[in-house]
Amino acid sequence: MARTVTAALLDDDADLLEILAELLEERDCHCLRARSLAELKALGPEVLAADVAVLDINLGSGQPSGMDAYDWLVSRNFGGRLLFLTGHARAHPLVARAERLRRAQILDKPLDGQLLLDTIIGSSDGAEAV
Amino acid sequence: MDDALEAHRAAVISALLGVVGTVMGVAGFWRVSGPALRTVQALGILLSGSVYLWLHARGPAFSRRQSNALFLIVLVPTVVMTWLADDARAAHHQSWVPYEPNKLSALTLALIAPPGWSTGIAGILLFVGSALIHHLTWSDAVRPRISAGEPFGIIAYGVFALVVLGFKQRGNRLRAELERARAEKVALERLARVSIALRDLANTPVQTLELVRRRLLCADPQLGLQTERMGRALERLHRLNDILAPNQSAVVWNEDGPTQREIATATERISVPSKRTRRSSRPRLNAR
Repeated sequence: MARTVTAALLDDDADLLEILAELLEERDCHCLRARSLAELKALGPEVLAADVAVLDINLGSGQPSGMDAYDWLVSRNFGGRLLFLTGHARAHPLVARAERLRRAQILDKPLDGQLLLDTIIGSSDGAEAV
Repeated sequence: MDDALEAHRAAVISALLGVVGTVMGVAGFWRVSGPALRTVQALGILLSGSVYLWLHARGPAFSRRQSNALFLIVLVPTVVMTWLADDARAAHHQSWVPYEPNKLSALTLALIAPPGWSTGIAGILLFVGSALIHHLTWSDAVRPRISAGEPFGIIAYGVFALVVLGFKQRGNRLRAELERARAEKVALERLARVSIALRDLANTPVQTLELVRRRLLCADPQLGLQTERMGRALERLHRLNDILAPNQSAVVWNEDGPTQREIATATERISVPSKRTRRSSRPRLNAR
């Protein structure tokens, strides 16, 4: 039997977070939801043990960004895959910084639903993502 | 700087040089000057000084036409003074080089003239023309004592002053074009920033709709036709988004720069829930 994939989802848009989690859960994926870095940290050790973390880069004006979440996860020896999901242009400073990170992969919103789900689940199995 | 401001600046310099030049004229021609010349010099200092103070007090509130008029008015006592100074030098010296202040004034006016040809030409012609008229009025007794070359000397200075004025006006035109181009660039950058902010903010709702479409399709296969339509609509939104993408090359991204502020403002505005949204319940987080 295939092992259940655990995904940590970080996005400040509650609707996107919910629908993404629902779709992943329908595929037997265990989802941990957070709308901010503080909520992500509050989820505790389970986040650090996740197979994949999907991080929105811009979490709102004046809020810690997805890059801060990345730094926190890496500093806590997060062993899973790291995906950035962003609606911002590649020229955006945060996205440009994310692009320079070797560990992380950037997914541009809007992405085909099927492709996005396959990438999140598949990436944890080492599949080539978008 | 617009033309009215530039004209104001030119009038200020003209008045200031009127004071400085006349004071130097008082010192230079003191030994040869009579009551008439000294009176004109005093009036010149008074007029130029008053205009200078008036221009300073009013700031750039004057119109371009008013500033140009003041630019020319302060020249009048100087023209009279140069005429009387040459008369005084003719009376006191065996030989002299005439029209020196006129030549200096013509060249200076070409350099400090306000935008537009008319004021600069009028100022130059005032000094060159008065020298030429004066040249015609010299008596036969004085004429042999005038240094050789006149009146061609003053004519040459006048021509050179007009050439310099031409370069000055060309510079003014280039400056105006540069200002226009800069203003256009600023406006385009702002438009590009707004486009980028809207494009980026539109992506998350489009992604949400795409996932909702996927969910509906999974939940009820009979909704296939509707979800297909929704898919096509989303595809069009996606393409619309792509049209805005090239604008990002026109945007300079800096931390806390105008683009970031534009995005932050747009985010705040788009994040305010509408009345309809506020009435509906929000999904509970981490509920399975």
